[in-house]
Amino acid sequence: MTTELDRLTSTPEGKRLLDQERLIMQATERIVELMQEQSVTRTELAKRLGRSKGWISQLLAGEANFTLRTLADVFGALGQRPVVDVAGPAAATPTHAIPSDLAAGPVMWRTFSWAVKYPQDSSVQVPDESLAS
Amino acid sequence: MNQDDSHIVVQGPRCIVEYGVLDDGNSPARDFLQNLQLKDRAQFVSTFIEVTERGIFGVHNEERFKSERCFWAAKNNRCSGGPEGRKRVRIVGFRRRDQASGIDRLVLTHGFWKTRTPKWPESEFVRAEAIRDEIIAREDRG
Repeated sequence: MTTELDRLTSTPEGKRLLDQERLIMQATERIVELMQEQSVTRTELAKRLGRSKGWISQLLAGEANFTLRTLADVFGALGQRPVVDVAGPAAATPTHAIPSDLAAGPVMWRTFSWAVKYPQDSSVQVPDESLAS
Repeated sequence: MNQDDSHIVVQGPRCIVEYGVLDDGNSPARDFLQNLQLKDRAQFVSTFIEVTERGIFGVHNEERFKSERCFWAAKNNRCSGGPEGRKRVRIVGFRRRDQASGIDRLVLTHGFWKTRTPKWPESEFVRAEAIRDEIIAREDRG
């Protein structure tokens, strides 16, 4: 069986473009998740970043040509520090047979919370234990 | 249906995204998507991958995927090659439960070039409803 995903990734150019778009989709989805978790509106996020509400919409739509610096600023405005991780082979095909963490594409966004405290005693907290694996 | 004529767009653990196929074998959604430029197709497929992994209700970013009345739409506001300089494209679909696997299906009805007005033209809802009703009637007949 040949899916539309198979057809798209049958050429190197298709794979390349899909990996770009998946990275943008994952990053913007994470931003929206954080906004919802923290009840931050687009207007509020725009204010924190010194940008317009329209710019936020463009960012979330994947239209803005945002850089890693921009993304760090956006996550920072949400109290998070992004880290980049490589998740698996390029343009991995998501099917029922492939674990979702391998099908997630070449790069995933994860975020640390800035709010994590490091107490003076020995019980230092690790922000996200999943990153240690 | 031959091997290169599959109606599946993407399948994942929480959802299957597929082209709706009419009784005459045509698929307006497939025809529309496959006529978009490669970059734009890649953006839509990336959205559909997210849907298959998170589920139809699990995608938070409404700039990319949102409900419109009883339908769902994948969005792209910067597509190339549209009529009259239009750039906004919507790929429309409806949710239906797969009887065999029990997971959700997103069945794509069609796509269209949207103007800058906030609301969809009523004709696009009418078209989506007609395609949806034809598909459901055929599936219910078995």
